[in-house]
Amino acid sequence: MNTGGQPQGYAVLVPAFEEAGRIGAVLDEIGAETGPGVEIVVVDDGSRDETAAVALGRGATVIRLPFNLGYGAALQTGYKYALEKGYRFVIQMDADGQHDPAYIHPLLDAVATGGADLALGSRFLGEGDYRMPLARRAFVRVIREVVRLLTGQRVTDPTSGMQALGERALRFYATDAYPIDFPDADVLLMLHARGMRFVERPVRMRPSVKPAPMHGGLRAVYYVFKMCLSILVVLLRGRSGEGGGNDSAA
Amino acid sequence: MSFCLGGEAGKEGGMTPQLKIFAVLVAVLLLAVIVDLVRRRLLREEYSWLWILAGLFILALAAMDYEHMVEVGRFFGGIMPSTILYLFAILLLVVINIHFSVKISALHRQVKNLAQELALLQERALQKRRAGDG
Repeated sequence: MNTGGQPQGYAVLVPAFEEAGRIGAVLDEIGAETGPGVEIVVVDDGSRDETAAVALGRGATVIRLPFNLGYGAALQTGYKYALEKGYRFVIQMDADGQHDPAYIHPLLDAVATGGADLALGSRFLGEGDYRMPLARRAFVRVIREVVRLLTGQRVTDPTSGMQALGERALRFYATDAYPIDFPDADVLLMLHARGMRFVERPVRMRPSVKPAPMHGGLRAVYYVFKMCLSILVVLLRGRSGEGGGNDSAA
Repeated sequence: MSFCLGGEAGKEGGMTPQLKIFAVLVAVLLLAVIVDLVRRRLLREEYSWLWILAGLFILALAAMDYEHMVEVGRFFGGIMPSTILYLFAILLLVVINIHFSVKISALHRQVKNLAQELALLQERALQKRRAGDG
């Protein structure tokens, strides 16, 4: 099923942590949508269950991190792999079945032919506000406004896990500048500062029973703090890009 | 200021001879421990220099004579000599902790990159082996 290394083609990237129960079905669905020639890369983020074995059984390429590094770092591992293999495009999706593979091609088209460097699959385009706690919704609105003011672009779902990336975005995301703890609107600002373009496409997501890490009380506080600081720092850096301490690029 | 202290402490601005001796002893002990840890390779030089600096600084403060301390205290709006000692000790602790946080951030980044490279290497090796067998 995996050919690995189709230089003109794309790969599907699925970061996974403790998803042995769901990932099999997810991979089957993706495979049905993409056809057998497309490499599906599962990054197993230090799962202690059978996630890797299940994925290998479905013919996916499985990259196993030696311990849990978190969603952003797992994604980044996938980006580094894709670049190494010469892929020009990557479409990323979650391993829990929340993302519908039917939207793979619309998102890929946006970066492959539409000229965008990044295409975000948004749950909220044309559908109004997701049911979120009031305080969180207000904060997200503020973030959206900041992004809109600074980049001139409307963004409705900056944390969406379903995205298609072009080569330029891939190269940037593989560097240490990529914020691995909460890749979010601040990444979009960084992209914009480097002259890259991002677009959104509507996608429909299926409800997932995953314990949304964003909604834990303390995490929510950290998220607000982190976003404020991160955006401030991106503004301060302007176009100059990374700060010190880059010992590894793609 | 000194009205709030009873006995001898009030006359010396909180800096009793006992406290002075204690501070000097602790500073000397700290320096000795740090140097020994470096000697035994349990502490890297790059982490030791801030501690040595802190130790020397506390030593200098503790050994300073009373009149000079009062002058320094006046600079801060008339605080007691003992307060100056504690103030700078705390400031030094803050600086040392920031130094550690910076080092930890660098280590975090290195560990992340190492783990990723390890995982990618394993996959590279696996694919090479498969290509060899196929």
